Amino acid sequence: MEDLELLKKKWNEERPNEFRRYTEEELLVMTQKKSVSVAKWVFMIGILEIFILVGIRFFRNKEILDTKLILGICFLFFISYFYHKINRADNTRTLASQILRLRFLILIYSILILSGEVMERAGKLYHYIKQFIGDNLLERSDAYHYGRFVGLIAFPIVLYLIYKHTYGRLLKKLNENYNELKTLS
Amino acid sequence: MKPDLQKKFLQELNENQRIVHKICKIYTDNPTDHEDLFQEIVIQLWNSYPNFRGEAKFSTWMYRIGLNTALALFRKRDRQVPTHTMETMEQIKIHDETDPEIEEQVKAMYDAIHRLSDVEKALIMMYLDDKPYKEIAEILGITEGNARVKMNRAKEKLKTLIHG
Repeated sequence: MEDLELLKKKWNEERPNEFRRYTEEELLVMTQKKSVSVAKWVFMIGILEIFILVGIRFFRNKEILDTKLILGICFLFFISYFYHKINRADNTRTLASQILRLRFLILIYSILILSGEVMERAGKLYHYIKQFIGDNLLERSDAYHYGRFVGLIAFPIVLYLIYKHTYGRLLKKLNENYNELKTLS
Repeated sequence: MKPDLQKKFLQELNENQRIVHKICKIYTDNPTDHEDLFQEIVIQLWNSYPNFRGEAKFSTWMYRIGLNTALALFRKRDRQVPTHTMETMEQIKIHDETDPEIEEQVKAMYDAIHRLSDVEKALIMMYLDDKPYKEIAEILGITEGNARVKMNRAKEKLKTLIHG
């Protein structure tokens, strides 16, 4: 392919002023800046998510030895471990799978917490649904129960939208690249 | 990091910074993103340097981390690129070339490369850098055979993008 050969020739020609030449001092300044990598964002959001969920639980129950609190601490440990195990010098497919594994771990935690909440409230949920679809729903005009019911329905939707706009946007490119490499293998 | 190690790192990075610039050129299309990606690669190299055992050459290790950053770690910031910035990029490219016809051909090639997928960009870049298939396969985490197949497809796609 003639075009590619031409490009190859140009690509390997070192031309002055082709790129900005940074000094060692400038490079040193760069090393001190904070990374904005996808892995770091996933890690930070995951930690924040656990802190929020654990925090809510703690302030509501005021119990230190709560199962969900312990679960949160365990996940904090595992997430930190997996984050620090990410090796930037691994091959691209392994690196991408390490980041996605970190994301998957956070997702498992969220699912565990949310399913726990739903199970705890299963009885009430049944009651709300029964009321909601009942014939005399309007007569009862129980605004409080409607609110709770709508809240329970809306919560996963809101959560999904939050996830889509955080992890979804963050990992879109990574997922695409990982799937492309996975398909190749 | 120990001062002598830091000094060594900066020296090697300084000598090989063209590699990082080339990765940025393939993966970005404006100077601001180029600068952002360059900085992110430098940070990733810096963070990984304590684990660099010297089994491979610094430039090879740097190439791998640079590509990994572009493919798996870097995320462009959501922002509007000012038009004058884009123009500056074009002016730089045009200034590089002497023959207007060749200049136009090379520009068309770069435009087409920017329309490839990230993995295809990596393959084309490694082709331009004359990397053997064994190394390409190792860097991406695929088999050598698949690297060959994918490379041919990427070249074909590039051809179609240029000539329609």
